[in-house]
Amino acid sequence: MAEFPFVHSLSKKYNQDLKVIFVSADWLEDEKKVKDFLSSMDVIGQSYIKDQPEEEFINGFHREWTGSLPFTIVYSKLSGSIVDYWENTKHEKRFIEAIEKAINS
Amino acid sequence: MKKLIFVATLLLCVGIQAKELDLGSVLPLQDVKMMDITGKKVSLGDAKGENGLLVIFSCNTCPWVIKWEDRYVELAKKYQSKGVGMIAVNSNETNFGSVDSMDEMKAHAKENGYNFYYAMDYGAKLAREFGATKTPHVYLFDAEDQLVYRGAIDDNAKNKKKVKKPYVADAIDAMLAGSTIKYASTKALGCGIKFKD
Repeated sequence: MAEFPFVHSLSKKYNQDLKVIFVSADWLEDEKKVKDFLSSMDVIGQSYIKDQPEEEFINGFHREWTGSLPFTIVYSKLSGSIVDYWENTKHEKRFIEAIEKAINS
Repeated sequence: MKKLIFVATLLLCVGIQAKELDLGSVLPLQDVKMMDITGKKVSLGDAKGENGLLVIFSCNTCPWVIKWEDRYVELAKKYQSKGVGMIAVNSNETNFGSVDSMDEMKAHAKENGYNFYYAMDYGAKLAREFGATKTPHVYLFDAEDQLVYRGAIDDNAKNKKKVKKPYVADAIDAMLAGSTIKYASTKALGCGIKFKD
């Protein structure tokens, strides 16, 4: 969660070129806490919360995802294909490189 | 405070770092000594029983660990007496100075009635060698030290009364009976292990 403000800031930085979507992996019973958290971080627009069995949720995003959180996927702006993905927290440089590649691919 | 965990999906617009140990692999790093909450050093070789070993990568604060750890205790109670050793390993090396310190591990184990080894994996050597990525992340080895199951405790972290597939218990039962393990590799969500880069 430490990286959340940075990830959120990317949507402003890249404006029309990037859309950041958060998907909560918390349990549905915690939906209110999730909403409160998103509000406290000034996240507006659509966000999602898990509503299916975990293995289905994991494989639905990516077959190679082991289930380790956080998990990030970056899609190409033009083709929609996956440009990069990773588990766990990464340096800001990794985000920037993937996003630049996504915008230009 | 309850933790909230997000998958961040950047839509506009490769890779998982460690490869998980393959089924059939031999128990690695059996002789590496780790500090246990008892104050004594323990290795996987010390922890294994005559019929196998259950290794759980775990920690003190992950919401999935908190939900599942009552089942750690039940598994230990049921299977250690049947010759299956059990050890929980904490590999969150960036947290060893804070929430995953040895003092915190001792307190957490006491509070939750741990009845098995709970050891600190300095340098996260075991986690790297196993390709463990999260907590909890479970590996079961048979009497010949071969990996026969890896993945989740069961299919419902939140509510043990609603578990339909008790993966680990079924795998141990099948292993002890010499029969085929129906689900030998499973997935569940968990908190990323806190590796130093």
